[in-house]
Amino acid sequence: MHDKRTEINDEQLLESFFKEVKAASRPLADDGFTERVMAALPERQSSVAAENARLRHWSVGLNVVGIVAAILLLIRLGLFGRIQGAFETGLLHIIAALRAFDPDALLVHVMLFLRHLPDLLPTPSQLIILTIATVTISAMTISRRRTFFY
Amino acid sequence: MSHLTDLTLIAQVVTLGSHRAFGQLVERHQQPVRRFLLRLTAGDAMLSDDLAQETFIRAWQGLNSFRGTANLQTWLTSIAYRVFLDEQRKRRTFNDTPVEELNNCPQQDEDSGSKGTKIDIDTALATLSEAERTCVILQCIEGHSIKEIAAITDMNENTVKSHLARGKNNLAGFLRKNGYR
Repeated sequence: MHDKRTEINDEQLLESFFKEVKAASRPLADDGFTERVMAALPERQSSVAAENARLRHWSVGLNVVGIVAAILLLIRLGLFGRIQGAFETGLLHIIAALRAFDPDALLVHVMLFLRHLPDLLPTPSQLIILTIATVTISAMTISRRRTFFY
Repeated sequence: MSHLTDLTLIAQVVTLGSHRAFGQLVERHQQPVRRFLLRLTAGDAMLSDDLAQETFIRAWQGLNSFRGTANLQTWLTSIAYRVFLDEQRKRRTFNDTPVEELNNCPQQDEDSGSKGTKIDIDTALATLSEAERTCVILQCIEGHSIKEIAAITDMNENTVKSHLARGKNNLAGFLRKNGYR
């Protein structure tokens, strides 16, 4: 009982003491504190900017690795020579075709093409398949871009 | 409303790294942080301002980890308390004057604002242990709840309660002994 009373008295005593302390305390003026803090702040990147920078670095790194790997593969398989050969052959064919160019023959070819054009147009079922394929490829491309950027 | 505005400013700092938004947060919360540290350092205005500056620098660097579940003020106070503990540890390592004994230094209490009180608040608080003093300051001066004090000091609520009970008891004893009525 006595302890309880002492406890209540202690509470009252402290309440009155802290009331006096609070009444006597003045608000702390900023006095340039905020400016000092702002001047001392170290550089800080926002998390989104940091994430984008990280992704950019990865992207550049992977591109370099991919290009180097492709070049090494081409050398390893001896494909450079074949590509060069194909270019040369192609170039020779173009030159030969230009030399043998006949405007009358071209006109005949164009007329034939126009005549058979209706046969070349897709049927309705082919058109539906083509549309579905285009939409699917577009959706995949868009979703891949989103995954990369966010 | 203030809580919402704080969150808006935090979002600007986190996503854009906005200095201006952080400046507003410092301006808004500097007073309770500095007052808390001033009491912990026994009224050493210069040291408490240095610690408060370090508190806001740590907050700037760690704002990404603020989840908004606690009040920003409580979060800042917990950083301030850790900064104070680090300073105290450093002083003990280098055999410097412990923070709790700084109230014997003559330059203190320029801004503590307790000059009108018959018994100096810092002298009274210096009679308590560090944990008791922290809990008493947080509850009786800063008005934090026991749950918030537990979050700030990383103690469990029962430990906070027992520190508060012992601290208040010792403080009341000191006040009585010094003729406070």
